[in-house]
Amino acid sequence: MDWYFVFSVVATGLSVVFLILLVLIIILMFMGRILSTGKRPARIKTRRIKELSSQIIIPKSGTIPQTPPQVFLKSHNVEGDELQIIAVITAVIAAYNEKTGKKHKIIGIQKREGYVRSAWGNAGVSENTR
Amino acid sequence: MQVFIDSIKGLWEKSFFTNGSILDLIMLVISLLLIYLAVAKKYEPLLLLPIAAGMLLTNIPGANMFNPEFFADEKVNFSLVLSEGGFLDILYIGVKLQIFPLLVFFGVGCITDFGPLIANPSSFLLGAAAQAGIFLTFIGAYALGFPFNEAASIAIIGSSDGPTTIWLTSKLAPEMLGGIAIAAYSYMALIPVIQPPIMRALTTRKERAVRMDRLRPVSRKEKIFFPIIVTVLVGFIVPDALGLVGMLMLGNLFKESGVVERLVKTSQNELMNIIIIMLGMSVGATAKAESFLNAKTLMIVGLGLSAFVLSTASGILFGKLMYIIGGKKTNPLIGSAGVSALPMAARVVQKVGQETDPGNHLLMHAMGPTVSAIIGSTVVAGIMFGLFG
Repeated sequence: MDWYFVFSVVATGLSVVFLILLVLIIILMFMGRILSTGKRPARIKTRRIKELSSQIIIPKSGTIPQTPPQVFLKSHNVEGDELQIIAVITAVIAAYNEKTGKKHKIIGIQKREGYVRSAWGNAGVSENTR
Repeated sequence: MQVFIDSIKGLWEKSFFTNGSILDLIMLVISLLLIYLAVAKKYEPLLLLPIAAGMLLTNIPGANMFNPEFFADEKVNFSLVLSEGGFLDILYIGVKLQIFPLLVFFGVGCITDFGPLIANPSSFLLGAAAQAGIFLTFIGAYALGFPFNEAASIAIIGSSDGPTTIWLTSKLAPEMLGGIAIAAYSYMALIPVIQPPIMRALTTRKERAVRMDRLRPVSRKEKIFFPIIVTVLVGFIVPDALGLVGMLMLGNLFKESGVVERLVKTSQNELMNIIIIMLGMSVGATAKAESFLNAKTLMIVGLGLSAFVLSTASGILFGKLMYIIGGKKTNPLIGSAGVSALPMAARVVQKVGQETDPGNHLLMHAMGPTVSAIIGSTVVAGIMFGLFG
């Protein structure tokens, strides 16, 4: 039995595979920097969200509304998607709470650190990966 | 009356009852078992059923469907095959000339999305680490007395890649093609059974619960450049692997270019299906009693399983290393997807990950090592062929 040759084959094989794939990693990293146009969506800073959420007013109501509750903004000077998203989230929470009869005051919205997939995204992935 | 008697006598002499043996009957039972597994248990039916069909046809003596002696010499007399060969002999030319495995690889390239790998290039390392299982099995097969060419053909089962396994075995040890192909496809079908216990045994609950960052979107330009770069690089370093890698990558280039939609659709569907029928039947035809019913086949089955287990384990262990070095950002489970069974291995990762944390979605992260392993295993096959071919 030629064990020296066998272990040479193993060493050669693994080194060549790792070498090729390492070179590809380096090339892909460079390529990613040069050609990539897509970036992860910028995260909204927590402080900024708190600042924006404080501008939202939820009308107080004692009865269950016939129409979805409205959410007003303290200031209309603020523009951009961030505020709209927060307003929508706040409106949904307000609508949910009024249906259950509970009353809450939203004092701030804080984004979780790290990537969190949306509920719809979770449902889609679960559906396709069962 | 005499003519009638002679005709019946002639038919009787040609029939299975005169020419058949108990070994042929055993082979027929094995082929029926494979048909059962494909139909009732749905074990890789797209390939196992054509293989079983080829096995059934080849083991009925007197039908002259396949003659392995035509392909025994290093230089095949193709005019003899074409003039005197049976239907399966003609189909087998496609395997012998490496046409079928390469065309299947072209189709695989047309359906593979390398985006997760491009987005997270470190996945390449997991795909490379899982190839250690192939080399460890190579050592084991050699220790059990197999010559180098046969040991390499058995070890490549650990790649979990049918076309690569067939490509290498038909070059290095064609007489073992039937047994090796059946073992490879059987284990690929059993990945959801084989891998989870290894994954649970080698990882802690905390490691399995690691949530990984979302992958960045990959631009079209990157997806177009990627197959060209891989083809050129692999072709420069391991020219023996260029056939497999080149067809895989050029198939992918067709897909990502977006300008040959008709060709891509044909490659993904009609072409691949036709080739799979011919490839499966001709591979099954090589499983004749004299080459299949022996101790070697049992050893192939055992070594094939160890190749799968070792590839899975080495991928996970490298994943653990990345988990430790990379600040606990890598879920080690994705290392098990370093076997190139697409998409089964990635789905198993997703399922095992969700056992620990139902909200954890590892599928796309596991696709990176899986597609990386396709490239890695073809490179290994090229190296093996370069050394022993």
